[in-house]
Amino acid sequence: MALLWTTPEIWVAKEPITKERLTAIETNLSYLHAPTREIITLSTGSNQTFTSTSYVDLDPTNYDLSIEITGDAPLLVELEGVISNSTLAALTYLDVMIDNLNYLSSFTVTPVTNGLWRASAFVANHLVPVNLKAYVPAGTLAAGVHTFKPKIKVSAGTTTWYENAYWSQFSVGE
Amino acid sequence: MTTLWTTPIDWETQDAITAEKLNAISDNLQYLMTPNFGVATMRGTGSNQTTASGTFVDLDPATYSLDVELTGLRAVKFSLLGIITHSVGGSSVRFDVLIDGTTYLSSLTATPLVNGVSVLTLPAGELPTVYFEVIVPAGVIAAGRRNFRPVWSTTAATATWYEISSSFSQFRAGEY
Repeated sequence: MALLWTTPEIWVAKEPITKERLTAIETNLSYLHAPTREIITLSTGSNQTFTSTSYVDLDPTNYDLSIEITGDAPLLVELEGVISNSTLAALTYLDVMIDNLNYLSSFTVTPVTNGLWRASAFVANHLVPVNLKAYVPAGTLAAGVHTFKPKIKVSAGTTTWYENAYWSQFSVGE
Repeated sequence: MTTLWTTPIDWETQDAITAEKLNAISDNLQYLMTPNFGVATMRGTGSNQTTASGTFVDLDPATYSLDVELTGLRAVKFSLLGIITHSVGGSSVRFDVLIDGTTYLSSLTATPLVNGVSVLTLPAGELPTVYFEVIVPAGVIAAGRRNFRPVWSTTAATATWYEISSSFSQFRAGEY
């Protein structure tokens, strides 16, 4: 279980230095040394295929993350992997849904059309890397537990997200 | 006001434990939790930017120019994410970051590397997402208030950076 951060004290002259207050410093040091981050890494899974033109889960069995955050630090959301599309010039879009409600691209229930990441199939079936990193400023999300799900859609053809013998990773953390 | 890091105290036996010294610990903890950096994010509320320049020019200074106070004691990370297109297939778009209006991130001098820190050759009409991330070691960029602006250039014709309602973009610069 992650140690959670508490706002550092503002000390006043002649206040008692208690073990609780010193422990709070130690706890914060531990949090800074290992801030909250959840990471899913796959290389031996099953490839995922998609033909939906509206957002669907990328791989809910593996990539759905639940993480407790302090809300006091910025969040970094990262998705890395490899895709291809069977149709020349077809587009693949990626976004991340927060708390089963809002898209990270817009912070509303309606994502921006191009999502967080848009990839074109310059050549049909050629592999294209995805290297998506998006920051969420401190205070944007309230302290507590939040869920994060990568979402995917296509404009045409079939997009494959490679998990079998390809490296992929989804992570969220402060 | 931004909290800045101060060098931790070397305590001596029988030193007085004062509120000031304890608050310095608190300030440093807070700095480590939220080191100084800036983030400019467009969530489809801007205007598309274009360039036909063969030398680096501002990408969108009204949006992406970031002023960040650095301690000079931590590494500095830069990242840029967004969607581009080009009017002529086979043309390249290059990106760099201008520091204080004088120094390019790619070279850390007043003369950028020809291809900046990131370059992409595009088929005509395609709109892929581009992303780069660069880390500068601690001590390379001096402490103080610094200005960071993404710049771009193209090898031919016109490149477009998307900020309209369909697109997300983000520029980040600062200590981490």
